[in-house]
Amino acid sequence: MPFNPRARLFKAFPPNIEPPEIYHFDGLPIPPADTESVLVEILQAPEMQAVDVLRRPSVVRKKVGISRPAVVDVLDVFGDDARLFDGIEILSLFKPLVRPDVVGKNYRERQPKRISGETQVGRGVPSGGKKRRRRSIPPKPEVADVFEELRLILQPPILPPDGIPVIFPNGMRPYPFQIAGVKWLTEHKRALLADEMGLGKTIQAIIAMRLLFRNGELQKTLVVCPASMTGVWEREVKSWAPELRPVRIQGAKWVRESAWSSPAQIYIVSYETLRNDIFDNNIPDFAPSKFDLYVLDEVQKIKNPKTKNHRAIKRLNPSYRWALTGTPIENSVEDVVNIFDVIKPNLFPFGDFIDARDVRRKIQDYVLRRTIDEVNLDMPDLTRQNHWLDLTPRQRDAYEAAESHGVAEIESQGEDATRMHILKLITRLKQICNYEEASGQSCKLDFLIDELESLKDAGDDKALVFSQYPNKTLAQIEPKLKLRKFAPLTYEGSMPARKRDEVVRRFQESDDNMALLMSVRAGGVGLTLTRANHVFHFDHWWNPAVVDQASARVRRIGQKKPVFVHSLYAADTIEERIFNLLQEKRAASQAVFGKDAQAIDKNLERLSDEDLYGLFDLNVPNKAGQSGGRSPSNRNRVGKSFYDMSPVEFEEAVCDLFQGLGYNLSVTKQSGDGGIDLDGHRNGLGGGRVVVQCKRYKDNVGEPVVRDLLGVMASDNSIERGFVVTTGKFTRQAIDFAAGERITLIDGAELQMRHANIARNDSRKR
Amino acid sequence: MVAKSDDALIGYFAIHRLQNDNNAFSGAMLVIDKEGLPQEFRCTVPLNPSLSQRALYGVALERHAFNTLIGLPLTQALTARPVCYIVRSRDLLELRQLIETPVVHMEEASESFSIGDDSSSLARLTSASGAFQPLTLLGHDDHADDSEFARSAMQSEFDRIDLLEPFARIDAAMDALSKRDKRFK
Repeated sequence: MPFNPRARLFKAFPPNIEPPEIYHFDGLPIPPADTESVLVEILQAPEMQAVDVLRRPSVVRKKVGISRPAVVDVLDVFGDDARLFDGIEILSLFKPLVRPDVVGKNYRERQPKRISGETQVGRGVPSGGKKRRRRSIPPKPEVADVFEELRLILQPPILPPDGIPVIFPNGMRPYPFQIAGVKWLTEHKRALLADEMGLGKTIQAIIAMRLLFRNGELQKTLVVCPASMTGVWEREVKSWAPELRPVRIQGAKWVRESAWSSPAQIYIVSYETLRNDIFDNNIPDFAPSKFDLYVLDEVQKIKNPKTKNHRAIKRLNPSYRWALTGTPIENSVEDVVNIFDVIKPNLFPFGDFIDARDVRRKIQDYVLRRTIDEVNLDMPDLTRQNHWLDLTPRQRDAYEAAESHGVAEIESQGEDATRMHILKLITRLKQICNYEEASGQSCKLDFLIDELESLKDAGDDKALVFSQYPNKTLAQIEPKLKLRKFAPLTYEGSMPARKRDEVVRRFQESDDNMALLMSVRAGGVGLTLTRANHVFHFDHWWNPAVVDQASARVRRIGQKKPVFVHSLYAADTIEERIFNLLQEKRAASQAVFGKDAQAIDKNLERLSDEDLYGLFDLNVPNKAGQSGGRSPSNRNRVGKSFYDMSPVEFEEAVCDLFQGLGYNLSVTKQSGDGGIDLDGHRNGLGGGRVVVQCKRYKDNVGEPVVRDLLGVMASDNSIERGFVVTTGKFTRQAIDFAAGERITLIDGAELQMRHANIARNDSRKR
Repeated sequence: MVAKSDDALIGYFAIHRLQNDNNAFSGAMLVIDKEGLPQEFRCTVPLNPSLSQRALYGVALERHAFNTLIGLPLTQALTARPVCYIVRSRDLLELRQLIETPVVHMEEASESFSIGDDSSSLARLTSASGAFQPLTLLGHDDHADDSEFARSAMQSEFDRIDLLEPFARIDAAMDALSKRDKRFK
């Protein structure tokens, strides 16, 4: 075809193509005739507006390679005006396709950066240097990495349709009963997983979370647990769900703010920190509604609805609410109701008026509990051994002197002596049985050293050493064990969380540290210490369940060796007398409660005054005298307000009130009551011992009163719950202090309300 | 010739079309290890040919875009080196002409029209555990050994993991990207 220098082609796309593209070809030379031709698609005629020569549907022909459109040939459908145009010019007009940008992520690179408070606090502090008290500039919130979020979506399925787990990191495999637990959790938005200690509730919850994350059910979750467990949770998440990003919420306020705002899937926080951050509005960006799920580990910590911990959790409103506990709680109706008030509100709309059978029936669909025996777990054998040891001569001398002096002092107090005096003496004597400070002698320590030496010679076994007395026992024996090259580690509640985590990590991973010394209170719950297979109990609580719980740190999933639990007793001492007393009571309890071990253990805690005084061959002070003039009677109180009553009348009125609430209390002696005004038990099976402090105050009751009561409770393990009742109010410090403890505060307003309710019920009955 | 690779890594290459604009598409590559765990994920921002580009490139557009403009840069961007790439569209086999690593098309044997075909480039992969449906592997015509190479490389993995399943992860990831990243909307 001849070249037409006047030939022009205008093409405009419709206006809905933004931006409109206009191509203009004009005065182009004819290409070489031997160029290869490739037929391509037709430009849609209706979309074209021809100007000048293009007035009809056209076909274009492209020549040369497909990636380099070089020549466009307008075929002769245009008639005489058809022209060939040179592609060199056309190429620039048509903007050939170019490579799009490539984005993405290599997931084999480093693990996700930790955002935990401790990491950030530590930043810039030279190792080994003094901690400088300097307020750093708060870090900028980390920007969300969309490809980090995709990491979850890109994970393989955990449970295919046939329900068989296929993929777990590092070849780790859950047990079948754990898979069943995972499945159960994912099918229950509201759930209480109450498996026996050591069966891996944490792991089940993590895998279930992982599954829900994969399915897109979850975006963000919250794990609330005791402060000592936050490190455990972080480690387990990293092990069992490495694609999920955990963040520990701890440290200074600005660190926590940063942590709350950081991009993560699992936020791990202690009950206390969560409580503070919610109620003090410390976290500006913290929106409780952003969580799809919370896990309440050791949920018994929020069983008291009056505590701030409980109320803080109630502020959260996720659709999934899981609670974990290894402590059977079925026997305490009140606790169960309170826990379900959080995870499944309205299950008990009339919570005050239900019986135990009703509760069990209602919660059965939401509770899963398996015991080690039930799941047929191939757990290593457990061997319990009681070792009866003779005090060293110096220990014996000190012991005899302390007992003689203590008994004489109690006798000299006559009717003023209370069970608190007895308990104080027992504590003193038990501490001497453990370790005699003046001489540094201890038959138990000698035994422990011999045992550890044997273990050292035999292989790489490790041991836990438990005591109730971190200062009077553990701190004393620790240097002696160091001298013997056992490199003991110590774990106790006063340590900061980071140090506790480090102690656990070192003990589990290092071959050097042969013994871990732990206070029962701090180390008896939740931890996994399977590196040890020997447990030494230097002393014992009244309730043998406490010993079992501490021993469960060792005998749990992951333990490969046979477990030995050694209970050390000093022969011919108060320890032997208590041991015998508990044996007698256990036999008697079994006759009543049968195989209900929990009820038996609870019952063992309730030692009568006769039991306690009998340990020292003492008679209980004449109670007739003390109660004769003080028995609760409303004769003189009728018509008086609580504040107008005398202190004694007020105590009696409160005693009446508690009886109306289902307690069986009596007024204690007016002096030497150890800070306790009312003492007794809750009615019914398993009802624990309860003490009450009455304060007929016009003003506020402060923290010292609550602290004193807690001190009394701490020195007497048989006390399950304490109450402080006042006609006035409580200071904020007192309320905060009581939160999370086993202490309930009843102020004047509540006192009046409860009193009115009981009076109303009484009148109805009449 | 086969490029140097990391043992037991498998690459998955797929084209994902945008939900709102079927003319726009992205490429994505997921590399997994022998346990099926993701090792690397790369994708391209969407390529959205203009009307004139679509007209000019014609039927060759997708094959050119998928392999030369998307597949090749993706393989070059990977830091992991899979032993082979698996695709679910035969158009993507052309990638093999541009790289030295085997590329095979995979589908369930029941879906493959080539069962019984004596094509030398077709291999059958059977799960010894019986957990998964048999698969067929097809390589590029010019690389007849690729399918057999891929079969032997993935045989042990197939006993434990579903080798087609990772494509579902790619789809899910790209869908998520389209919601969370404005470049992919």
